[in-house]
Amino acid sequence: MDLEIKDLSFSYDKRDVLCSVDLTAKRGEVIGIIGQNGCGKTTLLKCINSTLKPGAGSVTVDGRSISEMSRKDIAKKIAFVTQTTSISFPFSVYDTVMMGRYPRLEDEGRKEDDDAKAVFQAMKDTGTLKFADRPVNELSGGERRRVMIARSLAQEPEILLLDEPTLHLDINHQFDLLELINKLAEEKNILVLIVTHDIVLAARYCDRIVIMQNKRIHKIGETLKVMIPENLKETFYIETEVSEDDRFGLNVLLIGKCGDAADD
Amino acid sequence: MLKTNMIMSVIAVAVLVVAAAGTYVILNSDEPEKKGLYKLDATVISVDMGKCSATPAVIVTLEDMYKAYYGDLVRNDLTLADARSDATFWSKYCEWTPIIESNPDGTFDVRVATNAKGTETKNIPVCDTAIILGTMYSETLYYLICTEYGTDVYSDESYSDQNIRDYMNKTVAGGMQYSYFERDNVDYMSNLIDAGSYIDIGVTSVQSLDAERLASALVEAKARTSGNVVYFASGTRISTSEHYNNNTGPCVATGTHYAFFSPSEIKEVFASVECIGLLMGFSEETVYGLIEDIQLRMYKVYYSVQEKTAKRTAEKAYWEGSSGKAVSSAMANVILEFLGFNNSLLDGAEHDVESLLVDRPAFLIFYTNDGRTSGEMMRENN
Amino acid sequence: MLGRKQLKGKGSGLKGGLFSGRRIGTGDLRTYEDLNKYRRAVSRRSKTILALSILGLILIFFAALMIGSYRLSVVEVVGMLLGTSDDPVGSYIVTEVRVPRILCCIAVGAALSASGLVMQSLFKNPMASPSVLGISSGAAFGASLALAFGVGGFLGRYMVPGMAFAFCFITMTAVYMLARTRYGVVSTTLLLAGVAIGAFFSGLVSLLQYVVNENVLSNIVYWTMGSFNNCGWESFQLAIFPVVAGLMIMLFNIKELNLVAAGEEQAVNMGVNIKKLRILMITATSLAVGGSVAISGVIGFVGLIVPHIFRMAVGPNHALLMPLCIFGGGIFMILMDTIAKSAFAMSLPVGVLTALIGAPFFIYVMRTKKKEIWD
Repeated sequence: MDLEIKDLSFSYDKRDVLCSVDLTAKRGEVIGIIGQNGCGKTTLLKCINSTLKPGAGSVTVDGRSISEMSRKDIAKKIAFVTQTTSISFPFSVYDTVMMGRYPRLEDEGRKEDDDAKAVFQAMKDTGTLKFADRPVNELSGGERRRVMIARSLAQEPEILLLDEPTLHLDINHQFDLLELINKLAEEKNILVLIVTHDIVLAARYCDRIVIMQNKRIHKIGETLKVMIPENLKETFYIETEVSEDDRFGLNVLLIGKCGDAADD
Repeated sequence: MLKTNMIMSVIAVAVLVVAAAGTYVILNSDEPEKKGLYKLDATVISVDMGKCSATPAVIVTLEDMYKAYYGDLVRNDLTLADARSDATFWSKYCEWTPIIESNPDGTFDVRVATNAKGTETKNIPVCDTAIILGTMYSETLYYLICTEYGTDVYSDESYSDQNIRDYMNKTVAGGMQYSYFERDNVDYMSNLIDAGSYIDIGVTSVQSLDAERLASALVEAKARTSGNVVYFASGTRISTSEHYNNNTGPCVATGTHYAFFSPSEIKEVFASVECIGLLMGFSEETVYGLIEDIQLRMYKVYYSVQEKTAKRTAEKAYWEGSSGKAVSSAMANVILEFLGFNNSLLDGAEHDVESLLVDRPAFLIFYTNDGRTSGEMMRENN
Repeated sequence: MLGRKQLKGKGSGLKGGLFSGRRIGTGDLRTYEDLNKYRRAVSRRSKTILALSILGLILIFFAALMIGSYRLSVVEVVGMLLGTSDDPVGSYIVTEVRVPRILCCIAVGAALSASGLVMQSLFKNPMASPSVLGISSGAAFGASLALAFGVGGFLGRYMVPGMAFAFCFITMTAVYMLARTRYGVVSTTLLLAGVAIGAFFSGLVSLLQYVVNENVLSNIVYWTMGSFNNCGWESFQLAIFPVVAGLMIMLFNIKELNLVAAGEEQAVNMGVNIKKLRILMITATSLAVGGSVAISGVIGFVGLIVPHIFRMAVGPNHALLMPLCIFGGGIFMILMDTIAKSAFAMSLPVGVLTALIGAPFFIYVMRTKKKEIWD
């Protein structure tokens, strides 16, 4: 299965937010999307699952354009974990994860057990089984995010979109989360697209990196090839040192702001 | 810059001093200035609200208002024959369409009218007990019984007459909230009707009527007599289907009768008097005697009004309810027209002092049960 | 709050455990079987609660049937219901006055409560309810137009509920449009919009009162206070169709409501057609509230109080909460009406009683829900 994004553009009230974005990806990949604020990262994600309708260009999954798919069909293929994890009402974790089954409730040949099994598997994979009866807003930020990921897994998606998944998490939980994501991507052959601010973690846990700048994709390619000090300096105005570490892969050392950065 | 400022302040102070002086002068002038509506120098009267609807007592209102504005009657020796020969008067105010028809078997066919269901004819036998939701019906009975005994209405004599007392207590078995009579100075009721035996249904309007209470009242009334019980209420207020059900269902279920009235002009007062009178077993002599008495009194007032207002444009009258808004009921309009006034100010709206000073009504009418002070009513502080 | 629920649902006194929080006590869930056990426990609990609420409704129906200013004993009432009595007055009272009145209470209570629940979930606002958001005022205005000028006469006997429904729809759409931003519906704006629209329509009703003649005026004034005094079989027949239609639509969208309550953006991500849901819910609540206001006038705060009480007792899952609000709303309304008509020397319009209870409750919600994550 392929995700193909061609010439994607989007604007809010005559203001351009995305310009001519091209991207292809395969299942099983973990792709990190980084860039300064306002470069269009989140908008790109929202265009992929059709939350926002692009002004031009197309998004196709397995050859089918998402603009022709119903919301439910999209939800069966693409799951989106938003930045905010707050839920307004004290739903139990079980009920919350079960919400992810919504798009599949009317599938043909579906048995009631299928939902329970999917929910169970999702919760097991994310380690949230023990919270099943707890109200979701009593959990900590990290636990909640795992529940949201469990919910999106219950959708049995082929593509998983994550918007700043490590935001506000304790550092150890950040590692946990990204390990989990990588594991799931591999085990379930899911394409994962992560929008993140965290360059260091992106370098460690992503197969490919997309650097966005000025509403366009500036650089795209294998992490090793893209995550180099020149690119980081160009986009982020920071001095870095990149090296390989046997223990965990690519290490990006953040030195500091560029001395001769042009004033913005 | 400074010089301009100084000149300005001097001028300002001068203006203030002159203004103060002027105010002082005006306030201390010899003649006390009239305030609010007193400036109109109009005739002012307070009338009993209960006597301004389609009840026989409307004649009292007409006479009182006439006297307040015009003074004495021009002629007191007119006869009913004179009234009848005055075709304009007679056809407009006295020729009524009966709503009751006597049947040879002693029952009556009564045309009952409600806003909800229009008119229907009900066959009702002679009744001797009534449950009343409205003072119009009890007042009619009071007038009839006083006519029968030759006593003046509202007189102490009538209040102490045992026959009248017995009749009223037996006949008006119950109905609208008793405390209403005390609150609104419905004197003949509070003087004659014994609160203890009165069957109170706890409401004053057909909309808030509790069907169960009406049913209990009718059952109790029925138990007190071997004759027939009738329920009297206002047909105009019964404006929805559910109001109709609430007011008639209990009667049908308890085997009692009902009659609703919707009078909107003076003629219809006579129709109601005739209907209530005959239905409650009064003799034709009493019923038509009362009617003719009222007709004659009305004619005397009418005749005088015609004399006094001949060749003059009608003066405006302003009639205000206790809510502070102009009255707009059909009867109020009819009354003012009868008395020769222009009733354009009876629009149901609020009229402030200024607009009234412009309109210059010559006659100001308020209700006796208005809770405001006369200062408030006459807008003295505006 | 627990006490209140136990008072209403007769027989629920024994099931203290059901309401003592939402946790079923799962300990350590490890296997699929464990999860299934939990699932079944939750399901059992829901079914029990629902059964209890239905039982409670039936019990309170019969209890209310015994109460009224016309004295009837229990035996007599039963006889009248079964048609074996030969007392025409009592039979009339029971079958033509009390039974339809109580049935109307159930319809109106269920309609207002369910509508309040839907509005709170859709707009994610704890204060949302038909009266607070001005919907009832709009409905009252529509009904007043029908009463005063016969507007909508082509609808025949459905004139008043039809106009009430139409104005419900208009009002709710107006409130929603005013409060909508690109990012969804902002809570405080929604409340303000509701207050503004409510004030507007109340003003119109006042204007109407100024313009019409006395007879219609007293009808309109009576309307704004809310009462079941004039609710007989005709009223029930008039209201039952729109109310049931509205409730059915709501019940068919329980899953969507759950998702939307979690968050509008998240719901869209999981495949909910938000536009369609909004229109459906606005239509459903307009039908339900319109039908209710048409027969009983404006009764405030029911849509605010009932969903809150039950949500606190059983949690936010609409699969249980919605039917519970329907039955519980019926129970609540019967209680309010019975108290209003018999507990005081002068019978009170029920709208006055709910306002007297509702306002302090409103303040209570405002103060405690500050902590909860509502938007």
